[in-house]
Amino acid sequence: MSDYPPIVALELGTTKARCVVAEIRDDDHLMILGVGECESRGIRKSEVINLDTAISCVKIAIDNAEESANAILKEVYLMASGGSIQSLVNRGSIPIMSDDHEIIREDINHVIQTARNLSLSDERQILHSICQHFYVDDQKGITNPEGMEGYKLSVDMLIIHGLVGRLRNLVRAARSASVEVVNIAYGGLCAALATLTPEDKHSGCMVIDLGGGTTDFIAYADNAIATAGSLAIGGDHVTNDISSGLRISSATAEKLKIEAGSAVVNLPQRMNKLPIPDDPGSSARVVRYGDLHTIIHARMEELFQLVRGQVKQKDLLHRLGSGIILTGGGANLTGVTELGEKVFGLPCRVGRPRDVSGFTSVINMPDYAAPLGLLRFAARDVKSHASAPGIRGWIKGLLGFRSAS
Amino acid sequence: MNLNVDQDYLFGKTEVPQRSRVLVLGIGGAGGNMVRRMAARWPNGGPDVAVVDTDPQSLAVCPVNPSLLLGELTTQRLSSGSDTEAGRMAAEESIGRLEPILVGYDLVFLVCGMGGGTGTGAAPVIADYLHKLETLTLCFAAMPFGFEGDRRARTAADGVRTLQDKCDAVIVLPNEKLIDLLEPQTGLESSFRISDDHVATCIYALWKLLSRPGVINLDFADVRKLVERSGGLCSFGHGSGQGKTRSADAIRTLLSSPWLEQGAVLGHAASLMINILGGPDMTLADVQGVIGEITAKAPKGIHLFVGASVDGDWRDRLAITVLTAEQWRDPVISRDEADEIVTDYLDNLEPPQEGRESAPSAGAVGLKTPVQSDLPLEKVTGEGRGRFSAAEPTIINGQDIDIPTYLRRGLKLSFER
Repeated sequence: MSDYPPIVALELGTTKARCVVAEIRDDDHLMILGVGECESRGIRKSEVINLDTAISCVKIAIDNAEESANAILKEVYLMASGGSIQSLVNRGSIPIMSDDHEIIREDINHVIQTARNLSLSDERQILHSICQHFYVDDQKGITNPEGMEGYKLSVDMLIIHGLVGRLRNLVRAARSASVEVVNIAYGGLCAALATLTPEDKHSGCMVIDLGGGTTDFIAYADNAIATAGSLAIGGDHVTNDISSGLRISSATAEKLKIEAGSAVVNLPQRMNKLPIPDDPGSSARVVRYGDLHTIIHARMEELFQLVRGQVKQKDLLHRLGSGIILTGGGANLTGVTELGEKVFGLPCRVGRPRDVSGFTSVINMPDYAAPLGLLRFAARDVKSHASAPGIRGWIKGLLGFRSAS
Repeated sequence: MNLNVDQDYLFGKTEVPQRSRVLVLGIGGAGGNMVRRMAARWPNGGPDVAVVDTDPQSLAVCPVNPSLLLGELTTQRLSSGSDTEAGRMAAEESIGRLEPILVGYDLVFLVCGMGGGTGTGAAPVIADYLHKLETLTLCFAAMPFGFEGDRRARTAADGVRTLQDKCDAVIVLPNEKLIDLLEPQTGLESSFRISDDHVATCIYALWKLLSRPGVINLDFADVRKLVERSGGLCSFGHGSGQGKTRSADAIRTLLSSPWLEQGAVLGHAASLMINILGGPDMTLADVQGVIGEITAKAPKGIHLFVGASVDGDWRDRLAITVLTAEQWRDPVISRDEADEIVTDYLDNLEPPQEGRESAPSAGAVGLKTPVQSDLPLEKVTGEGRGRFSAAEPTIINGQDIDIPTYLRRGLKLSFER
């Protein structure tokens, strides 16, 4: 059925560790073969804070996935997120030296290498370098300059990079669970790969992946990724705010958020009472919907405003014709698209993974957009044999855990 | 925004940097109308203006910029419907978006009508937020007319009390008293305009005073002092005159001003700020005469602040504005400290029961040591961070984002009110 071996995506999320096994069909359709999950421990804001507990979670998720897919997993693609991830645009230029000044494939590869060649500080590692647009003699917005004539060829590359130490800890946790990491991809990019249609990318849009510990965002304009970034704010913050405001345990706060939470305050409902299930050690009581929703609204609005600030700074807001696409667990929150529309002044919808089949319970959930997108990233990576050396080499170069076999 | 500064540039005058930034914010329908009419009176520059309302229709026709719709989701763009609670919630919803409008000012005048939904409900929320920004806040609260009914009057009175806690000072404008002043045939629109004129001139005079040095200078610290020690309630009066008899006319209209109860308010004032605004032709005798006559009405030993400034465009014209408070409280401690001490005092209260030696029951207000005065600080840095206390803090724009947003925005939950 497929020429390629099954691929495995591993996410060490703040709420859950997830492992998904899939097969790529030739038409790029993904067939899910198995899924494994485990409640996360030892992860805060998408970063490892306790390696031992994180490893045990990864092990359980992988074991579950192996059982579910009936296969032994050896190699995984790993998702990276967290507040340390940033992006920047780097422009590279080369002169076209040939006599006829025609731009050939080699020139394009050369200019891409030049733009990629960017010296970041030692503590930062490039995750992705993505081609945005070419310029031929300052003519803007060229997608493929091959065959054109000019004296100078330039390219804008979007460089997505993260802190070495944080990435290393993620790789370490995966390796300690006896799997090798083939490649790492940024969570926001994954969420976009899973949910966006070609039209979305063309007319411009932004994907916001509302995770447990972090919020990743990635904006497309004119068919290219214009900016990407990550904020260390997520669903955990909402839960913590509820727990602190209503003086209830985190577990109860999480339950309230999922069952009765809303990102907008509902005027008629606000004085209605909501019974709180008994916390061990405290008696049952009631809270008002208005209070719960006020707390959630304040946090989510602030989060959206911070993301909006980031894209506004890059002057992108008016270029997002297809609006905002929300993924991640936070996209399940009632009223979240309504709030998004208000803050961004753009249409806002929940993103669902496309072109995936099998495990229907999983593939329709916005929570799974990023891991399924990671599979799509992996599928591309497997097919394009000329994969960028950068991060793969870096992973292999990591010593001291398991030898890269 | 400020055209005057540009003109100074054009004509090569010495540039005087603006010393204090002043914003006039209209809240709700009445406030928006007042600010709209005021802004029209300052074509040559004045304080910055802004309007917020829950009613998209009235905002749409309001030329004031910037303007912001409050509570888009709370009220579903249907205005507050005279529901104070809805006004409050709308402001809470939108307080985050108000920030860019409010930040960077030294003095903010809130202008609102009391007794309805938006002004009464939203003004305290906004004032509370300004307090967090440490901005001096003065609120002009227009009270409803008698014919608007008892319920509205009660809502308005409650609203003023709430505002007094939140603002540095509230200046109550009893619109009812306007009726005494007006000719019976005065049109409705022009009656309101007269009231607006008074408020507009007062604000303009204060702005003029604060934005550039006057001939007899009063500065921001003086205004702050008067307002902060006023105990939360101020009165103001305004009078103006033209021609040869301008000072006499100005004094006469000031003393007959309905806001000063025909001058009676001056009789029991504890502090008084007199600000005279005139043209280049204003004489020392004018100033001396005006101040002498007004202070003669006031008790001896009053805390007096006097200022005079000249507006180049004025000819043969004189305006007096008076800001006065019945109280003068010497501050022992700042407001924040006061809050803290009250909390500590409550925390340290012993239960009024017998057997003080026996340990207080769990959950009851216990005997606490004075060390507890650190409690509010701990609450912010430790408790609010909750589960993130172990993780690296997320600091954005100088704010610790791990602390709940509603706490940072000063939103009150229903059981805390």
